[in-house]
Amino acid sequence: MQQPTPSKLAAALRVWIDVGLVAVTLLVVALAVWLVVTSFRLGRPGTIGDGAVWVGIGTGQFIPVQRLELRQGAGQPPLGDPALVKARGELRFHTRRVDLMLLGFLPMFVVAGAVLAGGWQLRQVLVTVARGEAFAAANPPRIAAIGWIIVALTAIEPLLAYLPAAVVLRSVDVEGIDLSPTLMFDTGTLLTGLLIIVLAAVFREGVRLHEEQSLTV
Amino acid sequence: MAIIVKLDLVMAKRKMSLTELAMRVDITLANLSILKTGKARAVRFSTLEALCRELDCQPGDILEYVHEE
Repeated sequence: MQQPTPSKLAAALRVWIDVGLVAVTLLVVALAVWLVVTSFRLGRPGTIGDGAVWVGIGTGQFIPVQRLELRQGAGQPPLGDPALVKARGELRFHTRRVDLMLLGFLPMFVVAGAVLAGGWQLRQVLVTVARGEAFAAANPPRIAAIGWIIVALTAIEPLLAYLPAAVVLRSVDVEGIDLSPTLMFDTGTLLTGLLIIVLAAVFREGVRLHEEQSLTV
Repeated sequence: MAIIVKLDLVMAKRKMSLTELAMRVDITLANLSILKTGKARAVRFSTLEALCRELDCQPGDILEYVHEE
């Protein structure tokens, strides 16, 4: 049996991940509390909430901040003061509707959840690597879980960004600018997720070999 | 497992302790214990050779094959 070789780099990285996980958790909790409080306050007269969705802007245009004119009509979501921020395609608006406000934040919560879940798995892997037990039997499933989280996020996140934008854009009509809900899949991230899943399979084989080697006398 | 390790029997015949054998064969006590308790997955020829030399026996005295259904 070989003596384990502890990794200082993994130990330092684990501390960094811990700080990141705590920060993300605090941000998510703070945002959730703010949303709940705002949702209750929206019922009062004279109170409006903020919302934001990501939209596609017509090709070849750079718009630092563009105030938009609204097309008002029956059945349209009640929006106010819509503005496009920079060329990022962020459409900000005021609304009294809680559902419209929450829709814009949905992708953020999903991404934060995925970051926390994946970050926790990575942390557990780093703990074993720091102890010098990289080939622990529990690590391949953890690494595979990180890969699947990335793949799932890549598949779901664009839909969660598309649906709120599609709802909001029903009431935004601007001359000269073509706004549309975007549905863009990040193939680079998808490939990264798939690569991590493959690496988990390679790691599983490594664990088997390591186990066999450690029981060879 | 179909291979049975009879190291404890040979050691008892030679009146040799696990610690002494580990020292003579130059492997760790933990590894020798793994072999003695039948948990080992594989045995190196060099280890087998050293065991036979120190215990003055043949490989067949240490290992035995038992047919399993």
